[in-house]
Amino acid sequence: MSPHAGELRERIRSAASAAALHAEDVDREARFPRESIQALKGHNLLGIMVPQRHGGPGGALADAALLCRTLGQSCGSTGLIYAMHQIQVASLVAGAGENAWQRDFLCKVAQDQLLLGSVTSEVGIGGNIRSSICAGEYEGDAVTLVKHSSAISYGAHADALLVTARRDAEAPSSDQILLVAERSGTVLTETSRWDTLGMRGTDSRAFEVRVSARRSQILDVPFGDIAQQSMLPTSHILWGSVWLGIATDAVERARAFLRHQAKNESGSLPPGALRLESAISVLSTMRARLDTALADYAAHQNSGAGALPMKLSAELNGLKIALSEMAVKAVQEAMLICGISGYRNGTPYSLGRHFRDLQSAPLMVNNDRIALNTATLLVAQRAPLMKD
Amino acid sequence: MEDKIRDVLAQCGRLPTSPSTLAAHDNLYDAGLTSLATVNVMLALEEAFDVEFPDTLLTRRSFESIAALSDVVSTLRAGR
Repeated sequence: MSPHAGELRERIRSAASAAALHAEDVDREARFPRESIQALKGHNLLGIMVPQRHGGPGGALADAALLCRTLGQSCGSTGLIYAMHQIQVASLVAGAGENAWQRDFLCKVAQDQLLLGSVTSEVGIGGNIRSSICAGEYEGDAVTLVKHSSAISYGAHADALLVTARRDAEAPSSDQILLVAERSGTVLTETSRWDTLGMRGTDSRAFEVRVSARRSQILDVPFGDIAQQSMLPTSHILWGSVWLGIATDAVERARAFLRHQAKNESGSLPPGALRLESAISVLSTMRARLDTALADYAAHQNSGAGALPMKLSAELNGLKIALSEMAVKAVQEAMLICGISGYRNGTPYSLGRHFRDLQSAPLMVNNDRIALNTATLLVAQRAPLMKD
Repeated sequence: MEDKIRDVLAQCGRLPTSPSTLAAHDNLYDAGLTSLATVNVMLALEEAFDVEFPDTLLTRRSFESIAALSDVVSTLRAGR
């Protein structure tokens, strides 16, 4: 972990407390968790992955993962917003190159604790972010863009949005750029709002997005490369960390419930108690897979190789599928342990929010779609399945 | 060799435009090549040129362009 680890943990704990305080209200009202985000900004935790050469603290992905997990334990929506923001930071760091405007912008992200959002979805393209319909229009140094996005999470609250588009009107749908649209140069017109089962604080809405920017705001690195090398690995690791956090809090509540039962019933435990062993075992497995993925991805980045070997892509896809399924299993076990106390809202053992938040995990990119893609990658590999 | 590679791309690449219109250094991913199609192209190239792609060459770079594929196949044939 980065230097000043103890001090960092304190700041993280403090931000997580703010998130915990408002988690139920955020979920009930389906509102943006402004108090948590304010606390994260106040503790300088939004810019954690901005490298030192851009004026940031130079934190590692493992630090962001710890934050995602800790925040997830307090409030799933806060954790997921934080994860989504860090995914954009990682993409920006990977794609900024030598561009002066972008390097300055990265400095601002760290200094002013800017919140970054993502506009990859588009009406008409389904779940495939590697395809765009809208295209950049150029006049001299100016670039404009109009995009009908089917969902932007916390779009109304972001300080800047990273938007995908076709390079220009002649480009094929997969020839995409990523553009940094500052809030001041962007007009967002809400076209519909989502009312979801869980992760209700992410405040996802459909918007028409009108951007006015300069060419220097377009990342030099093609979006396809950013997606494969940075966005996908970071997404799967950070989302997985949030899910582990939510599942951990659910199992902590189950354990607290059993302690409470044991005290009242003089030591005898309810029938569901045996599920605690399997629930904790699931959490351990999730943690182990995340740590392995973090290490493997870090090793790849240190090798300076750039494009991910198919083997690592397959591992990171498998990670997402496994963590999403395991998190759902863990909260189900916790629910069976807590029984009616978990099923009801407003008890110290309530699990409704945890359960509903985790239902999003197998769906945010549907696991079936990922599994089919991954099977093809795995067929291509020749190396033995088991390392020595 | 480039012609044979273009044939394979035409059959397995699932590209929206014909590979005959692509220059040797045009980016195949920008032209619409997906990761899934990459695997089909790889298997077909192994068949067509009687080579085996080692895992170390299973990256985006190898399949970036017709020229890149040509380099990889030549290297594999030479080492056989």
